[in-house]
Amino acid sequence: MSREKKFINDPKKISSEALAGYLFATSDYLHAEGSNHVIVANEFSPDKVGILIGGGIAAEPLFMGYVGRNMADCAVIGNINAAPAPDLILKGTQAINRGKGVLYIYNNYPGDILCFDMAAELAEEEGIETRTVRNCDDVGSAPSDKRPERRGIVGAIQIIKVAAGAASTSMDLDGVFQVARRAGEQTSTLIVAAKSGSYLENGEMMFNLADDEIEIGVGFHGEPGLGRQNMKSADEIVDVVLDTLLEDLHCKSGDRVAVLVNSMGATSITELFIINNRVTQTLPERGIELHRSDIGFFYTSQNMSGFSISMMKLDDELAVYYDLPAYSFSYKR
Amino acid sequence: MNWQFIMIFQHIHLATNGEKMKTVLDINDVVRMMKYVSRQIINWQDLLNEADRLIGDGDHGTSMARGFEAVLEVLDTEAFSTLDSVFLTIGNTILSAVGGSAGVIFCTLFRSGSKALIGKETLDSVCMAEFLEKAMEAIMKRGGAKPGDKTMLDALYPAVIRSAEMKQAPLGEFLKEMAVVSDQGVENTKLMKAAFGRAKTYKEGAVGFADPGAITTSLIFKYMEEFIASEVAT
Repeated sequence: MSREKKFINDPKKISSEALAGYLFATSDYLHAEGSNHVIVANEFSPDKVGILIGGGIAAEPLFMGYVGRNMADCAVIGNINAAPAPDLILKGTQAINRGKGVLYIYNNYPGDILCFDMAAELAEEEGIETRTVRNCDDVGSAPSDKRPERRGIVGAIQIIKVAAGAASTSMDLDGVFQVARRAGEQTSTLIVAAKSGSYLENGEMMFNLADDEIEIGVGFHGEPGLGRQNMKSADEIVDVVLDTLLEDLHCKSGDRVAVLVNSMGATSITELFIINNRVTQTLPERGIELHRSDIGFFYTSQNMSGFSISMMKLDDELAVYYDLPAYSFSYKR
Repeated sequence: MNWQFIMIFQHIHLATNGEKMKTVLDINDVVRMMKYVSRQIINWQDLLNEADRLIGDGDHGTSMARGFEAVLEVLDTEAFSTLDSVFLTIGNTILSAVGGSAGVIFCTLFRSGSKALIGKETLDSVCMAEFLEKAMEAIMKRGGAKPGDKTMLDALYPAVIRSAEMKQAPLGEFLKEMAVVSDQGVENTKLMKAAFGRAKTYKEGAVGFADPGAITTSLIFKYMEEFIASEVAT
């Protein structure tokens, strides 16, 4: 089996060294709370609901890249592909609770559910109120009528943006929770893979795809998606992805959406521009108003070659929160 | 083997080995036993990773090794006055060190099990049986899985069932039987489709492979028993 080269020192030190490096680069607006796995924004208004996000190491810059002004107040990061331990989540919860409670937003995986639910119980014992929104945006993982079974991937960023926007108003925990939940129900993502990424620890490929094949709806580690097909032009692939997303969100003519065009790691920014060109051209042709599209490396599967499109169906309230200025390592407005 | 037969066997055994035979363990023995178990699970790191690579993300061995390395360290440094505090500490240590589903589930095994040992200073089959029952109940509640879902419960559940009939046996025999039935439980997971975790995404593809968490569970019994057996032999 071929192995790819990785710039690491010791597989056991990947998370600690990566988090330390990240914190040095962001020390003007972020700090570690007790552990480098608990990353907290320096500025945090005293009377708002706290937004806490988190998950394992592997899909960087999710989640650490989304802490900052009008973004999450804290990200709690686990080990490689493992949810953060409940005591770390509790530490983050304590750090950002200002008496108005804390909203947890994370991707829907069994380990994350176990750890965050346990942390929520620990927080409750300390009198800190929490609510939870699990992102279930991966269209490739389950049909739309089974949304709670879907894995969570890139769309988490859109939900975090909207929830943080709502929290920046004087809204209470239940209000922010309702906004985030509605945003989550209206957010879907598809990943298109052209080539597997390789594991950070050992450089081994996560899965195999033939040279002339792509897979639409593939999971973040190559979990089977909606099926493999031959490579086509960018426009043809984007059209399939958009049609699937629009159908999934029951979008009809006149609806308004916000889109994230994301590289899965190895696909170039030039290709993302080409993809976004088609998105911007063709959504109006389909009767859909494109409120905004953002382009970048928001969520990766190491060096997977491929891209994802996330789509959130907006209403007036969600649009207001989506448009608020924001500052974080990986999302700026 | 029914337990009356085991009792007869034990009786002979006791008669020949005299007071060297351990039917109960004190706190010091339990700490040494759990250090032995920890070292053995750490040794299984690569094999557990390999088992997990077939149906999961290939890191179960790494996770368990990280957890039990932390357990070894804490058992070396802390002093304990009751058995529940030993297992509570083991559970909490695994949770903090590992995170993820494996961290929570194996934490719950020890932490909820410890509730059967509150204030106790000796471990016997009766309280070990209660330990397993409490642990299983809590794991099912916490994780939402049930026997047959291809999880560690498929190694724990047969042990709980068998333990009810083994309470009167000496602890070594008790654990030996737990190791046997849980190992059979591991075998049975090979025939199951996964209902949880990443293995679920492999659908029928997971059939034919054992669940790594079930393997770890059966290893814990195996090495507990092995420790006691080695104590008898020395």
